Amino acid sequence: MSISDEVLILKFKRGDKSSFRRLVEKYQSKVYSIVLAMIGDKNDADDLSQEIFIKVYKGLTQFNGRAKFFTWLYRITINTCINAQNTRKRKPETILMSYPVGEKENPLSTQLSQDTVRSPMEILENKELGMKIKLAIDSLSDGLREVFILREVEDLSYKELSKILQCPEGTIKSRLFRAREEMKKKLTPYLGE
Amino acid sequence: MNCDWLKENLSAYVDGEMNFITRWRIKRHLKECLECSKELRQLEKIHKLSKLAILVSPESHFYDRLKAKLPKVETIEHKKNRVFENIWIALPQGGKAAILVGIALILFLSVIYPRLSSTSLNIDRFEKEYLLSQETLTCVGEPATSLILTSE
Ligand SMILES: [Zn+2]
Repeated sequence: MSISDEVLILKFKRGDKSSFRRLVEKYQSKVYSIVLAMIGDKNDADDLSQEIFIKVYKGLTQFNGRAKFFTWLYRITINTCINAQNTRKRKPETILMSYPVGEKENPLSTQLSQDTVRSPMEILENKELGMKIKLAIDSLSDGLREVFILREVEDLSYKELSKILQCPEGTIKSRLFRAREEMKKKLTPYLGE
Repeated sequence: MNCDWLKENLSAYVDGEMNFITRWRIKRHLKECLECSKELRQLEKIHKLSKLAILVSPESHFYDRLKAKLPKVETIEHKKNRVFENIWIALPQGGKAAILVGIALILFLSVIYPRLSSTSLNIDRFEKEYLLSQETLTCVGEPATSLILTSE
């Protein structure tokens, strides 16, 4: 059984630094994925993800546990991304080639190739689909993009999303509906119906 | 349930945000409506593909690079005798709820219930005493009469 976030935070407050490492390792991929999808540049995403965990480290002793840890973490993540977007210019072209060095392939292509793909041509088509999806996410308007990304990364409930983004559940529902409508329009040729 | 309403709410349905009755009604509609079930398949595909496109791992040695940047943070002073606090924090929500219900039940049985039952006991006692006093009166009455008779 994995140790809960609450226990890890308590241990960290008592001086156990390894608990912070476990928290980072638990959430680093999700935080990095959110930042990369929001910002679009691999190097900036890495720097910002580190910045987010430094903020968490500094604030963790004051974290009172009234909200869930991930609600707090994702709020810091989204706020950091929004602040960065206001100061840095987005680089949407780099999102397309932003897979980590250690990773052999786009996970999307790997997944699809396991299902259906046989020929190199088809692999190429799926890579193209991966790029189209990223471009579609990137072109979502502000307000729609963060709620869509958060929902896809973590399968959070509307209640949790409303806490993170600090808006009513009804707004979350309508934003997700609009985001998916926009995604559908852009991806219709690839949805196979 | 019509198609227009469903198309606006299908996104929330995919996210599992509908109550049991509405889910059941939507499922029933989807079985009969080709147009809406096509819409559902498209939404599910967008969800699956987007997740795959978004989720990636950070560059290697993420924590090691982070560790070098971490400032010194003062930790809260260690206090002994925090066993119960640790257990409480480690408990899942269900366990906490069970303990709270248990405490409430013990309090009810030990403090509130005896008071409630003592009221009913008093009524019983009152009834017994009343009957006893009635009997005593008749017992007292008889020798009194006989005493009167003998005195005559
Ligand atoms: Zn329909």
